[in-house]
Parts: sequence; structure tokens; C-alpha cells
Amino acid sequence: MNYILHLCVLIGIYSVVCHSLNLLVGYSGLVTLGHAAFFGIGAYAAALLTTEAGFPFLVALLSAMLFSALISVLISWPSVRLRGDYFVLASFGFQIIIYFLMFNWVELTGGPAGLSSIPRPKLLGIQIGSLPAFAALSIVSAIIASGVVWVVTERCALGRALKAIRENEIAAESLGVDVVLVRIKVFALAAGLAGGSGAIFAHYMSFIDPSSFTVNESIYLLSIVIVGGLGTLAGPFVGVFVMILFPEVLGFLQIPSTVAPSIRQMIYGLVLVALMFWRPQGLAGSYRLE
Amino acid sequence: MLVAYAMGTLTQLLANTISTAGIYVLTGVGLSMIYRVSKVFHFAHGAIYTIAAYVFFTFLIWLCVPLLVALVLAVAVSALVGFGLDRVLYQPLAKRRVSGATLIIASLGTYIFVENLIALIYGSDTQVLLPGVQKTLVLGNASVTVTQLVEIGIFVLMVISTIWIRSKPVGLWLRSVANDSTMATALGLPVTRIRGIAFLVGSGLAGLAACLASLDSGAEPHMGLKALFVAIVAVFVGGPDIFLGPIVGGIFFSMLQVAANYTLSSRWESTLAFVVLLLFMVLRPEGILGRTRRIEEATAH
Repeated sequence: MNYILHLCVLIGIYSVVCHSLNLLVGYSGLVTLGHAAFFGIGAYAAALLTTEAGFPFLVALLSAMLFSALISVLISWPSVRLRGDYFVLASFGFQIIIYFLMFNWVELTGGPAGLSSIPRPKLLGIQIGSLPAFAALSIVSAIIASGVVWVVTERCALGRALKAIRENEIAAESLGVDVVLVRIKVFALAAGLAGGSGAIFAHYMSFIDPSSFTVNESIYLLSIVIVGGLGTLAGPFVGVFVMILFPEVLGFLQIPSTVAPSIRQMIYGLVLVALMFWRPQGLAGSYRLE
Repeated sequence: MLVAYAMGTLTQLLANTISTAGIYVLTGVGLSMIYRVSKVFHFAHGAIYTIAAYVFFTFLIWLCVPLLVALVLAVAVSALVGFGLDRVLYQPLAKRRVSGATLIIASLGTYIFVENLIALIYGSDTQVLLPGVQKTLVLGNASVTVTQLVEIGIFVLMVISTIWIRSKPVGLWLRSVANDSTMATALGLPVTRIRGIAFLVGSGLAGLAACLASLDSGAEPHMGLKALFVAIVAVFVGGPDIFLGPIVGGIFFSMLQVAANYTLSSRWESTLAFVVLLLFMVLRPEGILGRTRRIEEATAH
């Protein structure tokens, strides 16, 4: 039972990150290899705020989201002007810079040893210490995140502008859409959401180190979003369910735990290649990466 | 006395810089050749690098083949794998006119698959190819290992051959397809064959780099990603549209590394390299050597 609750927590946390990544990849057509960096920035910011500065959880969470969004402007402001491969490359570079900062700035981040004894959060006077409470928190945050994404993409001018840019950038621009500004805004929103889920992740694990925020993690997040489906609200949920429950299937097959991680990753790799051939929009997606 | 000492340090630094640059240049020239001709952002270049190092290791240590034979076999295998990857994966995808992003993700998927396949077969520990400390030769003021000497030789060879190939038929083929592959097809150039050449040669060069690097520091499953970082920086800082670009970029990167080691500490070298890459992409996307393109040219690819 506890294990199922643990999976629920993970599904909630990953749903938030993947919804935010879907905003970039699916709704805006910006393929990024740097999303784990924002997840990590949020995690480190929140962890430092609660352990070092003694902030309450909610304040730390909101500050981490804000901080992550601000950092995203630093990177998105110059890089959203780049086209195609160059944008992917810029996000890749950003991811590596942030990873090495976490790894090497020992005075702030603890370096490879990471940060430990992050307290379990207290929200509106309720101590969230038990696993069921945490599962509820992360599921609620996933629902809030998907709600935000739905409002932004379906009920806002920003969402219509995004889709217009994705379909035809030049046409959108000629109709008066400020492409750079729209992309900076959506980038900040996505980074904020990712940072928020990072904060929840840090408080759930109560220990973080740079190995959770590597390039491979960014690639993993991207593959969840692509497998689930691009540009729909259901996509990230489908992707997270498939990709998080899938390792459990390997567990049933009695594959020894020494080789299981490699086999799992190999299958992810194959699935990505296969999807690009037969279903580039993902399982439940509407938008093809074209 | 002091001057002689300073000269000695300088020659040593130069030898170290050029020998590391040799490896970077090999990987970088390979990547840029493939990228320019096929327009595929070839993440799996890192996978090919790792494969070459492990094939080399298998022949050299497990099968006890002589070093030079093992080297040739490893380079041949990596060239063929690169070529095959293009035929099986990239070309069918390119025929469907998919976007660059689709190709990148397919390439990433391949990379992940290969990295973990290798970890599955060989384990994720570093495999040592040459045990013990290598013998050093004293040349003037500097002492270098045999591997380093070979790397310096290869660096010089790469500089000469990239300048030489520019105006030769193969070089012209590569350049014309890189410039505009539709036009090249219309003019009757064998575009598929030229692509094949780029993948064969580019992957072979990466394979050679991997073998040399693994003699120094062994082989491990993640080595390809690190090599790919360096190649990307070398190609995009040097100039992604120029043959000499990755060579200049490779020297630049290894100088940056030496400078970082002497002033800050070696742990910041990657951070510094990628900050420089981002600055270049924003401020001078055509690289050190490239010339500014007109908008029509830039959107053509």
C-alpha cells in the first residue's frame, strides 16, 4: 500500500513537470533539453529557503517558483530568437551549466553530497508528514498545474498566440503577435511550474543531489511528454502513467535489479525512435513535431 | 635560467594543448561533416564514439589482437555503424520530410539505447586499456607520451587535409550538398552517396578519437556524451559552416581548458566552455570563422 502511495506521489510530481514541459514542446513547438535544470533550480531554491532561512513551506514554494521563472527569462530572452537546432543546443548548454553549478558550487549547494534533512512541509497549519497526505498534496498540485495549463492554452489570448506561432511563425508575426515576448512568457510559466514541482520533490525526498537533475533526466522528461502526446491536456498524464508504471512491469518479469535500469533505459530509447517513425505526436497527442 | 624554465613550461603547455586539441578536432570535424551534409543534429555521434572505444577494448584486451590491428578494426566498425545508422534511421525519416526536432529525438533515442546496451554488456565501471603509466619521451623542453605524440601528429594531419580537401572533388561535393542539397540533387550529384561518405568518414574520425582517448583514460559508457559536449562546442564556436571551423574550435576549447586549469580550477572548465558556447550562439551564431549569412541563405536549411 505504501508503495502504491509512493508511486502516486511520483506520478503527481512528474505530472506537474510534464504539463509544464508540454507547454513548451507541445503547445509552443520549442523542443528543450533543459527542463530538468528548472526542476532542479526549484528544488534547490526551496530546500535552501526552508533549511537555511527557515521559511515556511508555502513561502519557500512560491519563492522557488518565482526564482525559477526569473532564471528562465535570463536564458529564454536571448535564446527564443534562435531557430530549430540552435534552440535545442542552447537549452542543452543551459542544462549543462546549471548541472555543473549544482555540482561544483559546493558552498551553496553542497556539491555532489547534495542537501539533506529537508523538513516535511507544513501547509496552512496542517503537517504533511505521512505518505497519504503527501500523495494528496502532489495529486492536488498536478490537478492545479493541469488546470493552469488548460486555462492558459484554451481560455487565454496567450494560448491562441502560442498555437498561431507554432503553426506559422511568420503569419502570426504579421498579424501583430510579438513572438519573442509570447515565448518568454510561456517559458517563464513553464519554468515556474517545473520549479514548483521541484520544490515538492525536494520536500518529499528530504534529500537532493545533482544526480536528479542531469541531462539524462531532461531527456527522460522529454520522452515522457513525447510518449504521452504533444499539445493535449491528456498527453502528460498518459506519458507519466506509462513511463512510471512501466518499470513495475519489469519488476514482475523478475529481471535482476542490477541490469533492470539499463534495460529500462534501452527500452525508452527504442520507444523514442519507434515513435518518431510511426507516431510522432505521441500516444494521446494532437501536434506533430513538424 | 628563469627564461629557460618559462620556455620549458610554454612548450609543455603547447604540447598538452595541441595533443588534447587533436582528439577534439577529430570528433568535431566528424560531427560538423555529418551535420553540414545531412542537417541531422547527430546526438548519436556520441554513441558511435563509445562503440569505437569498446570495440577497441574488446579486440585489444579480450581477444589480444595487436594494438594497430585493433585500432583499424575499431575505426572500421564505427564508420560502418555510422553509415548504417544513416541508412536505417535518418534517411527514411528524412524522406518523410520530418522536422529537425524529430530527427534530434530519434538520434537521442539511439544514443540512450547504445549507452545502456554497452553498460549492460560491459558494466558501468571504467575499463583500462593501457595499464600503468605510459613511457614519456623528452623532446626539447617538453616531455610527451607516445599517445600524445600521435595526437599531435594527427592534429597536424587534420589541418593539412581539411585545407587540402576543400578544393578537391570530394570536398566540393560535400560543400555543395552542405550548401543546398536540393540544388545538388537537381544538378545530378549523387547526394545519397555523398551523405554516405560524410557518415563513413565522420564516424570513422570519431572512432579514431575514441580509441586514442581510451588509451589515455580508459573506456566507460558515458564517455560519448562528454566527447559530444566538446565536439558541439568546437563545431559551433569555431563555425558550423566551415571545414576549418571545428579545428579552430578544438584549439579554442583545449586552450580554454588549460586556462581554466591554471586560473580557476579544473572543475569549472565545462561550465566555462558552455557559457562561451551560449555567448557565441547569441552574439555570433556563425562562429569564429563563419561569415554572416543573408536571411534567405540561413533559412534554406
